[in-house]
Amino acid sequence: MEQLERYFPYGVVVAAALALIVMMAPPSDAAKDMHLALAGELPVMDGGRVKPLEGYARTVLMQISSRQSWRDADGNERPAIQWLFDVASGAGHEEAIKQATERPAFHIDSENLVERLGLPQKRDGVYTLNDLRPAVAKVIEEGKRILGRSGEKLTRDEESLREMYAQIFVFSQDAEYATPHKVFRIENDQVLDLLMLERRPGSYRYSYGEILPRLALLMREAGRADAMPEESRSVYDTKVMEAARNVQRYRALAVLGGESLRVVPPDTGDAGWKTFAEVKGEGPLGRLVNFYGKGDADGFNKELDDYRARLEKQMPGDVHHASFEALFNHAEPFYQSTWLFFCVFLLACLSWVGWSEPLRRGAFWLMLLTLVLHTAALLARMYLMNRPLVFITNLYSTAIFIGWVGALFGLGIECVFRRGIGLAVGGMLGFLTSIIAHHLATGDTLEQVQAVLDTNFWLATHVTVINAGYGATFVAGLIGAGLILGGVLTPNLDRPLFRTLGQILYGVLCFATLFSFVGTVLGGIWADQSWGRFWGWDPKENGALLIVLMNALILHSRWAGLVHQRGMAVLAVLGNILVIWSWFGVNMLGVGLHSYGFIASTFYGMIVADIAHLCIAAVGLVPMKHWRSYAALQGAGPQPAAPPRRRGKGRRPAVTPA
Amino acid sequence: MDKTAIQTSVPPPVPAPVVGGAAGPVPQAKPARRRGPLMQAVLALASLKLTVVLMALAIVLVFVGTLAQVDEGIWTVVEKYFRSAYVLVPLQLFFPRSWHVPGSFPWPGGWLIGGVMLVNMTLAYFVRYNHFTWKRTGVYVLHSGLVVMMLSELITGLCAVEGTMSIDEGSSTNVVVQNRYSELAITSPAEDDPAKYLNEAVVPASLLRKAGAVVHNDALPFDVEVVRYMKNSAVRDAKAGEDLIATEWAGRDRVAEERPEVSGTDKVQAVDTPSAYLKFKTKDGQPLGTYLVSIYLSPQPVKVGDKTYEVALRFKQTYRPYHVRLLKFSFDRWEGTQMARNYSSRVQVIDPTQKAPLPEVLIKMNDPLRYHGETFYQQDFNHETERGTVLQVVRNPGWLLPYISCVLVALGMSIHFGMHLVTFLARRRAA
Repeated sequence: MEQLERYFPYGVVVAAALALIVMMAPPSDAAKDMHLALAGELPVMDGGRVKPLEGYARTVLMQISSRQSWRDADGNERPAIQWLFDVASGAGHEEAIKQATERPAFHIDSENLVERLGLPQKRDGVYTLNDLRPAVAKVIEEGKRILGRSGEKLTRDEESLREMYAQIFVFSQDAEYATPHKVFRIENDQVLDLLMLERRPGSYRYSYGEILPRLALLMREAGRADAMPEESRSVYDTKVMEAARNVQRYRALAVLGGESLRVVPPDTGDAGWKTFAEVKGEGPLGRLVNFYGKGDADGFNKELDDYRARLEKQMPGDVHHASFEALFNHAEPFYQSTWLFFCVFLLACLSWVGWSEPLRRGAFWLMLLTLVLHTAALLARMYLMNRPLVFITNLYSTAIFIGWVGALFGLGIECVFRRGIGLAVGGMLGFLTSIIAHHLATGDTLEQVQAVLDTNFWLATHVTVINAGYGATFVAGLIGAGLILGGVLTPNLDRPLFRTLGQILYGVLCFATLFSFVGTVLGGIWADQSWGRFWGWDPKENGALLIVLMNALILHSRWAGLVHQRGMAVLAVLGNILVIWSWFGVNMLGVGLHSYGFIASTFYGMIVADIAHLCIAAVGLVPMKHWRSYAALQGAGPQPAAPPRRRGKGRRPAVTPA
Repeated sequence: MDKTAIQTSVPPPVPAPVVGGAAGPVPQAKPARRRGPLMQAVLALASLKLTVVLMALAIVLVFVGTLAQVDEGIWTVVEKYFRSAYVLVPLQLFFPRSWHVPGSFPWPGGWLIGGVMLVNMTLAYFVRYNHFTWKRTGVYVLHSGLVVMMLSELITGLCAVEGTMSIDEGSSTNVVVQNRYSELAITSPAEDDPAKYLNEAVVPASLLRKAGAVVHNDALPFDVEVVRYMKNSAVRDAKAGEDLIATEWAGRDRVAEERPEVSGTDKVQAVDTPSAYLKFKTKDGQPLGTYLVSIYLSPQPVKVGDKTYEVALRFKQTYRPYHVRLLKFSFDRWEGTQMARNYSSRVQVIDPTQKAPLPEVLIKMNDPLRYHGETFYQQDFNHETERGTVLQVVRNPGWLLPYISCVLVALGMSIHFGMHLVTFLARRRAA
């Protein structure tokens, strides 16, 4: 047993490390097969920066499917790069078209029209393209004629015909992109009804081939929604627009022609990339797609090796950058730290239940491992963006960074107070911010920054410090919440622990004040450098100021003797609301030069988080004699922190203070 | 740690005799001595509790001042909320704009809270911290930094002037336009060069706000009576048969319509564009007609006797004793995208008072030019040609103060919290 206690922490770390190695190991290509992973490392220019081809595929797949990989017909997980080659070379095209033509998708509700077109009567009035085949020529002819007339009111039959014509027209135009891969994530019932697709709970993924027969209607609806003013669009309108945008992204990917994608490198040097269309789909990449389509592995690998050798000579820096980024994308270090943080939190919490020291030490070493991984990943990001000491370039990376700050604070606290508190708080914050980051990763997370942000000095100073302030304030808020919930809901918060929590809270608040103040003022100085106004009362600036004021208020209340441990805890919990406001809320006001990350769905998350914090703060205001830990709190210590003691209500009998 | 914290920052509070409800109990530097009411008041003003109250008031003010920017322009909010003694906060702010919620509540404004905070902080030096101890070094340094910061905001609020300078490549200008203010300019062609216009007189728009107001001044060649002034407006062509207020020139086929003030969240329009209907009269009361003047309209002639003037409502203009010449404007994009990577302007200042020509300077994002007490920032550019620049020109005598303040506060906090931490850790180790 003693042995177990001694080696348990190391066991935890070794197990976690092994799991990481398995999950993060770079993909390898079998020698005889096509070297797809290697092809994924090829550098391309997208969004103003060089990235691996695989990274482009991942981003598009993420936008369309909300996942970075996809499942084939047999349910096997497949990499994004394979999807890209499948779509570009039209793999499974015949099958997809066959399915599409057999899909009931044409709605004719007039028996008259059915008769006119010489079709068999159907009870539901829904026909497949195959059913329509005998009448297609007629529909096209009529449709053209109806479209040619303008300004007249159409009869219902004419409208039906026009709609069918549009469907057939778009079908024939866009059929070449059809694949059977189910990658389009569509959850909205109305959009599914529009596309005549059945609901698929659990997966919600549909293929381009399935969308194709009614694509014309999707595009028409999206056009209608697009013309509306933003504020009067319904959920359906935005979902329709999103689906249409995803179709466009997919079609762009099929011709390797994303909006800012340049896949053809310059003949010499590393500037002046061209689009795939400019070289008419030829060149090495075009040949690779052809070999892929033919299933010629040898030709593919030979072409790939030649191309890579040429690029390596021409732009060695970019090639290595792209290879490294492909590795980084595959390893998904920030995703790994999500579960690691959760395990740290879990172990720390379990350590309070029993078998304390081994569990706590296990959590400690696991936290150290997580921090090493997270730090390495942050450094890798800096290398990839070529911005030393710049942790943050977009909203996504603020979440990653705040988690890192939380973990650092947690570990620091743990080194001083060996009670598992720092680990639980650090693990919790790391876990939550990782999840937030995951939801913010809707596009290229290493994207280039806007002109005014293109300064490593200010990104490394102001942005880093202010987010460290956010992180520290969050840590304080979580400790406050822990103190309140631990005291009210459990009987275990004794007086020494209560005081310890107060000390930690105070210390963290000092750091939070320092970072948030310095960060805010540095922001002002940057503003002075950038547009000559130190302070403009811009919403983001105000948000930062609110955090400074709140932290200062807590500290001064403490010094004035207006609050003690409990009061600090309540105020720190309220402080979290201000941080959330400053982090996300002000972006939603749509005001100010800082609003770089507007996301409507975040709004609901923010409201829920705010309400949760308000509830915890309110619970903290419950008189201490009603706390389950009331008895334990009376246990020891020179001064009562609670109001004058009357009859204790706790489980244990009240003990007279020593 | 909580004990040390109290001791190092404030002496333990001793209940003071309560005099006057508002003051409340105050910590005393030395107990057991009776204080006069004046001293009581001073102590109350210097108290930490007041600090806390002020901070709470400030938090609410900053929050509502942010919410208000959804409806109102950032400058209006700054004047109303942050540079004022008090503000009436509409309840509507807290509800969706589709609900109609009447009513408002008063709240202390930025000048008031900031002013009392400044007094509170300064008095604390004399009353609470008047015995210097090394332990409080950090507190002294950090709060003097705060005083500097608040003074800097005061100086900025009172003295800072912002404007813009638009220059096309190859040309130079000495005009700075302040688009937060407008003015009625009355000009006349110079006698020696009819292409050149001289400023005859300028009437600030603040004198034109009230309908019916008459501006009568010896500097003006004629009197101006205000028919209507619109802070923000749009100008359109008049419809057939529409009743027109103006009788002369542009106003005979154009109509100005009032628009709501541009809000901080507005993405389309950035500045208010005023218009006004003005009635001009000669000094002896002869009517010269009613004019429509607007930011959107070019100067219109007014004939007084045999002299012709031109009138226009324009953004306020001021002139520098030197010119700025734009040599080249560059707009770099990230490769293959329309996303801006950098904007920069190569300029040269031409100052007749300087003997040698001044060197060329590159103004770019985050890298301004400072000259003659003013700072020139890259702000915008001519979106049509991409061959003209717009520089923001700022005169702020207090611009250096925040830098000093930042250093002082960071240093002060580091000293104070650092000392706390070291003492605390040493004690823990000893225990």
